Amino acid sequence: MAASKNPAAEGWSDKCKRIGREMVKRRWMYFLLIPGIIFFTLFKYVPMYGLKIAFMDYNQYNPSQSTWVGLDQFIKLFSKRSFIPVLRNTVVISLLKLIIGFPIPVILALMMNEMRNLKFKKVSQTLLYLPHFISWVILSGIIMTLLDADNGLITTFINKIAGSRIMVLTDSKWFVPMLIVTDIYKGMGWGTILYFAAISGIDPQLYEAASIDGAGRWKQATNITLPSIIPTIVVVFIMNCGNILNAGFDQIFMLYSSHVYDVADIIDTYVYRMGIEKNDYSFSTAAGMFKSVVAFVLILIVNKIAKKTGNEGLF
Amino acid sequence: MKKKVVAMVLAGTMIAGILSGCGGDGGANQSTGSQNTATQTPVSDEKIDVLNQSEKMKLSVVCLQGYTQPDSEMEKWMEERYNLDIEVIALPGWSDATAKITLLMGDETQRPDIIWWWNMEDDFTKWVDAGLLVDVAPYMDKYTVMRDYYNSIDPGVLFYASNEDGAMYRIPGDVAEPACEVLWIRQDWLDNLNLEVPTTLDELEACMYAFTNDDPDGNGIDDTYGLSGDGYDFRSFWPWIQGCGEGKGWMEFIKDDDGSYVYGAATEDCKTWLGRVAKLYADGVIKSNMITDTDRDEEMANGGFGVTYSWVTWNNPSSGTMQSFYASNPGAKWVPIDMVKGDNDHPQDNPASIGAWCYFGITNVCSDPERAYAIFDDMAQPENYLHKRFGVEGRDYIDNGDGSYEIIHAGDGAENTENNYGINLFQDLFSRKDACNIANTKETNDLFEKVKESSREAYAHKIEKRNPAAYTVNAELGTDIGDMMKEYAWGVIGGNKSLDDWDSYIKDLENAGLQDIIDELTQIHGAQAEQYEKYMQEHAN
Amino acid sequence: MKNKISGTTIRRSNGERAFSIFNYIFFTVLCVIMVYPFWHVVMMSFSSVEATARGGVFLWPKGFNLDTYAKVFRDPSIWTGYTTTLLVTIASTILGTLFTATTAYPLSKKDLPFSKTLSLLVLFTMLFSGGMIPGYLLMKNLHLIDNRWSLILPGLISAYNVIIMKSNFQTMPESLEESARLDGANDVTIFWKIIMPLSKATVATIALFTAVGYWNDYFSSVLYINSKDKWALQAVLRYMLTNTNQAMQSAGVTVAATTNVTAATIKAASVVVATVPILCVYPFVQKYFVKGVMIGGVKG
Repeated sequence: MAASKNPAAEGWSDKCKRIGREMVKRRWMYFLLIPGIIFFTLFKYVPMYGLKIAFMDYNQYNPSQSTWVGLDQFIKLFSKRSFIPVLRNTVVISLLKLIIGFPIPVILALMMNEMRNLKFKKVSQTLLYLPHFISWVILSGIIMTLLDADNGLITTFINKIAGSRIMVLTDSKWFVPMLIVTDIYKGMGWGTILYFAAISGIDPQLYEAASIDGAGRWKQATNITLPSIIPTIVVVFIMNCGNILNAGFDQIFMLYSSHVYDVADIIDTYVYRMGIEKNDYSFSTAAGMFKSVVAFVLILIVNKIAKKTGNEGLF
Repeated sequence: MKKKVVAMVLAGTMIAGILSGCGGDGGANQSTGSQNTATQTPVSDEKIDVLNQSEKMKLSVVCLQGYTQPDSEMEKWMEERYNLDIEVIALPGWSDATAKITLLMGDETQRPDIIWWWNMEDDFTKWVDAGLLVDVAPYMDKYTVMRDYYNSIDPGVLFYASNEDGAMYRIPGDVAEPACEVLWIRQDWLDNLNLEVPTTLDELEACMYAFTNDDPDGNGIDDTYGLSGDGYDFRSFWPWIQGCGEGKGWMEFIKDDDGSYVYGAATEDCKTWLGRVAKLYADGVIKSNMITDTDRDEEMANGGFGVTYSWVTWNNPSSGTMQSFYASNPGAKWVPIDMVKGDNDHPQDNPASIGAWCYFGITNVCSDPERAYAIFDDMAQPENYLHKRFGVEGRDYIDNGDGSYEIIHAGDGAENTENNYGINLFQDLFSRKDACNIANTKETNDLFEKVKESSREAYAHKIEKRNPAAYTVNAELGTDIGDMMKEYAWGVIGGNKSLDDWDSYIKDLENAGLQDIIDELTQIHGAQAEQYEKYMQEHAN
Repeated sequence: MKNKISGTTIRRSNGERAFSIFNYIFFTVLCVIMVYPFWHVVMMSFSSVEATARGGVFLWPKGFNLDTYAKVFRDPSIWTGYTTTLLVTIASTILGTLFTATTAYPLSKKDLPFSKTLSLLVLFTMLFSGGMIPGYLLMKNLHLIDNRWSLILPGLISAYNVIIMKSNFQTMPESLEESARLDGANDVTIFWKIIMPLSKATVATIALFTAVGYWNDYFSSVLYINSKDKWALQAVLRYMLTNTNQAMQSAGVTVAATTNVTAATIKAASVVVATVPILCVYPFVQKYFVKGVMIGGVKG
């Protein structure tokens, strides 16, 4: 990071002088940055040389035996016969999670903001976070109990309504909706925290002025609260877009089976199954890097769109 | 904006590149520490008397199961007995243990003296190549307790542990009994319905239909099933697998009678058994959750079915699973029965692997590998093993004197942790399945003996690999083929896929490279089979 | 309470009243659904082994007993785990939140030379990382293997949190800083005396995220700690839950069956043991979200 400052010191003297003066003037700002720069350099950028193993056949016990293989690992990944269906599943599942799951915390936060009984509000806020603290290992155990094909509570219920035997966990039609519902269930409460923080920062005078002007609660919510938290919504949305190839390994891994491979097998679960045969760091690093590059490009695009439409981007 | 972004990315890459240079250097330094040549095993002229060593030896040991906390009674006993300073490096649970082992072995400053692992065949090959492990074959000839024990079970155990040149870089940590599952049936239900113990597959199915439809528990409610067991696991259908056709419909690669290799899941036998099981499932005779990943112990504790193919150890009265079943089903009675006869006249039980499922080894950082081996060999002696595995007679278990025992404090009990006894320390760094395993009753031992006898014919078909890392085609294609097989077979059993599509399923397998895997097996495993024959002849007593 | 936003109570249409009623009912139902899995786990942890093996739905403990908790708490490694986790979480939350803020504040100034570049470099780390082995080698070269600092340092500042905080700082009105600057305050003073106090809700959020992240972290213990008595709580609990492995299963090795059956209750108890302390932190943080409104209200 420090290295990138150097080019500023050479050439285009006027511009550089101006920047130099500005930097001296704002020196205390750079002082504040010191811990951050040290941290990111040491703990994030130094280990990044590890990305090179995606282009190698890496031997971690005898690094001198590692060989450079260029893009072979990527070609291996892309030429897998399951790659296209797996990529499709990944995108479909995470897009559905994003489209359906993203607005829910926003709506919840707005609705909760309308509650005037502070005690009730506080208690329900706290309770909404509970599922976040229960890991997928535990939660999937509960889900499997409730959806047990034989005597699960929800299965029995569904079967009564549908009149036929529906086994959600082994049925390709039902499995993905189940993934989305449980994912929203686990994350929606926790997702509201950022919006609450944003809402609490809104100047109350705005509301008072509005109510004096005769605006009702609905008007206040749509004209004051929502616009005030739009910057937060945009930032969270852009960052979520970076997760487009992370469809939720833990969740799917705990719940899926070969019955639903056709719809639920994602890049991560597939790479994991490949890895059981062979502890291949180069291959999994390559798969990870592929995901990261896609996410990076996507974030740049969405960020640009956000800025074009007049919002603050990430950078 | 665009230019800037590109510049940023370039800058990032450049920094990463520069840093990768440093990283490369670090890596090079690291590799100089360990020589590339295979280490010559140091062997002393005399046997080391591990009980009388004046020099205190540091010994760091990696283990997963059986470790509770530092400085347990058992650890101190070992330290005193062998004049050791033991440091246990505990692995953090199954899912992350492999990562930890990788890091420990890659770091010469943290590498333990004794490493334990399972399944890491590729890594194992790299360890040997990098000279990280000590060849213990010379020690085995000098200190013979572990060797003799394994040879008494099956000389094949050590065959699979050794390399082709006879070197032995790994010691088998735990080997299952030759067969460990048996057919169980509800005797009380048979009695209630006046049924005989089934001896053929057809009779077994008839019993299952009766158990499902004829209210065997007499409660007037239609709440019983014929079969249940470990869900989403083909082993639960073993009676059909062994009984349909020639009994070759295994869901894995097998060796045919003529020495050729076939994929069991692509045989007509497999089609036959899938068809029969699918019909049973469709008829509601098999518990519906059996196509999902259920746990056999939980299912058993639940009850509600009359037939299962499961653990022999359930025969022990101390079995927690059976205790909880009987607690809620008083008057019920599960009995183990002989395997039923199918289309062929050779009823067989399911054979387990002879090769160990986990190994341990002595690394190149160990100050005295021979002494370390001698210590583990001494701990393998029956009386020492009994102490390490089950604790102190009188306090932790009672010897009834008639060959039966009573366990008071088990290794996984709260007392063991609280009082820091350390019972069952280093559980998977050598374990005995003979009379020293006093958790088994005499009846259970007999049952093990019986299923072993009735599984040898089937065992002849089983493929075990001495060096799985050598099968590169399988590593490349095996996952895809296995996935296809599971997707289709479970689909058929669950009724979502049809046996009419069998031919296209076979075609898919072939397109995915089934023949390449078989060719590789013929080549590598074929050569191994010859070595095996030779080895077994040499080691036949 | 007395500072409840006035004025809004004056006029309420029928539609608003209907919405309000709907709102309360909706959230009551939602809370019940949200609580159920946790309730299930808690009740299961108080149930007998036989009852849990039979599964089903747990509204009340089946065969109430405390054996599971006895087993969990009689294990001394739980206490060493708590110690490590508490030390690590407290240190990391304080340092992490502070450094996240000091990093985010300069980056929020668009006119500051190189702030955009640095922001992008921070974002970059959110998507790309070197992986497990380089991380380990770094710790090794810093001589921090088997040292609790190795649990604290690597995750101290997350790019995600920096971005959240940065976008919060960007919404602050410039005028406050301008007037302080006229009074002769430098950027550090402004940051500490003006910006931080005004960002309480965001700081609380980031602190909560950091604390929860560290509290739930077990993988750092896996990677960097060798002695079990320095493991974090989550690693201890995972180790307790160690159950039969697939490899053992397929080899046909059965573990003493008691382990298998108790696994469910132990799992449940360890969730309670691990979750309840961090849940207790929440109300203190929540205060700041609500207060943010109230303080503003007083001023108005």
